[in-house]
Amino acid sequence: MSDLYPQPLLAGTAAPLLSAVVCTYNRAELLAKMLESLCRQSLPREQFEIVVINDGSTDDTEGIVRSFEGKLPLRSLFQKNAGLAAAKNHGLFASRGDFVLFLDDDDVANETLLEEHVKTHREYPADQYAVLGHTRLSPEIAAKPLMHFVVEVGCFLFSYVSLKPGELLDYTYFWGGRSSCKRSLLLEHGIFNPVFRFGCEDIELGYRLSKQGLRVVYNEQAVSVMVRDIDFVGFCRRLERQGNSNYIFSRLHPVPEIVHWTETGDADSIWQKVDGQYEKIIKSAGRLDEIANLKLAYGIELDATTLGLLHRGYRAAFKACKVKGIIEKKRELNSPCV
Amino acid sequence: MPNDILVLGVYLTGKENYAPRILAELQKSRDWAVDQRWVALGKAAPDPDLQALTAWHQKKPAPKFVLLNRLLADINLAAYEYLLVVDDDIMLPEGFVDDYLSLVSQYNLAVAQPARTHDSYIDHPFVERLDGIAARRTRFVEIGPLFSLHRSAFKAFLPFDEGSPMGWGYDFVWPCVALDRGLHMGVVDAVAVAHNLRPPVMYYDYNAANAAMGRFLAQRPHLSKKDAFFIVESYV
Repeated sequence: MSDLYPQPLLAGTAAPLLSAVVCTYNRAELLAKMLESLCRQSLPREQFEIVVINDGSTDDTEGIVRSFEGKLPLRSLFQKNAGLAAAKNHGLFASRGDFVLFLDDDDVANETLLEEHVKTHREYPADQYAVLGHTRLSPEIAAKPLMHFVVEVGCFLFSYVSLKPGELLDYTYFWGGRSSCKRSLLLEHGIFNPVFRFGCEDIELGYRLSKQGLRVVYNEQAVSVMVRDIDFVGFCRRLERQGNSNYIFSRLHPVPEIVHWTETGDADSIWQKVDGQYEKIIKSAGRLDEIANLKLAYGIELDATTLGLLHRGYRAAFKACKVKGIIEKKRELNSPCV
Repeated sequence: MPNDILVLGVYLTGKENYAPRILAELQKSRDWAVDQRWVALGKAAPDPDLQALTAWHQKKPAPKFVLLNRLLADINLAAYEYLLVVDDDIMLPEGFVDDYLSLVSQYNLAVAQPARTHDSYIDHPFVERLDGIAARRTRFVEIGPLFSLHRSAFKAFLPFDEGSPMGWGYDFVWPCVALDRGLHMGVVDAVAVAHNLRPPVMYYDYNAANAAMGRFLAQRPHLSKKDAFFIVESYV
């Protein structure tokens, strides 16, 4: 189709190579850290732009964004709160770069983050290649038992344990907040589904793009650092929401690979076992989490037995939360009132 | 300022369509005097209920924009504030005309379209409704299923260029025309229309329309998709 447009009028008018889209909601302080890190990028300033989508924040997000005007090639747009997928679409269409990098507002970028994404896109110029960067935890939060577990052991947040540098991956690695792709691929073949307010918007789009041959190149040098600590209650809530989205995803694409990825196939049978015990599972894991944090606060190392119990508790609780989210969304969407 | 709007459209006879509902909804406007002129296209007899608003019955196939130009030839446009061009296969929300034109006027969009609902057939993801905003200034307005021109755009856009008689490619040339004349284009997200009755290009020749678009664009300044699918400004 692009061959039919031989006279693009505005092509070459100083558009940046890369647009970094940051969607944010009521995280003004964290956003400031992210924007601060983007001020120190090795990629020349004329080669990138930052597009901030304020998804209806009621805190000082606007003020923070204004304070970076002049320090960054920055564009900011406001929308009424509509969720992550809608905000990402807004950002995509407000971008001018050939490559679009979707960043999280609770990460900070290493100095070479943008440069590394551009470098990999130049190595893989075809439209279907996306790039996955590497996110690690900041030292302060990596020391927390829960954050260590969800990243390094249980893989409930993101997990790079099995990935090799430069590896070509499938759509299930088109992870939001740390992936970039060609803007033209999305303009032509699909955008985020706004039904997803939190979770799955990235993999669901990746699944659709996989029909166009999407491949994800892992660049371990494209580093961002997660700086937001998530506590036990927050993580339980997060996984419930993830479960909600997993169910929606599996309804949109009821095929075996998606049923498998979303863990919806055996959700009913798992819930039968969990239901009635749910509060106990959560309470018990929460108590273990408290004890572990208390010990660390007093400078007491966690012994192998405590650690083993803690991880079993976390695993059971987080799995239960996700299944609860799946079941609740299933009941909601299958209710005769919907 | 005239408070009349002109609606032009083509509906298919003998094929399922929403023309009766569309015509009725458009006529409900409280803010505007609506003047509708439609062409009935197809061998089957037109719906008698639509007779009053049907300018003529076109039995032989003819391209949409050629028919629209024939309709326009007999009309004094000076009487109208807006022109709406409407297809017969969309679902309009209640109060469409007033709500849509209110936002079009508020944001000074000389060339505009309503976004398509999420469940619509969508050729260009750019025109799918963006949740969280009311409207956006863009460099792209699609040729269908519904678009509007403000009177300030009549001279630049009418009669329609018949170089691509089905209209394919207009949407990439229009932004250059608008840019040249300082006219704003945009998409209204808050008043989206559903386009899900039948897939596009069901009743005409894809290859012929596509070839016409290629020739059309080769001879005219136009935007690439990358440049066209861009939000200049968004409004909540």
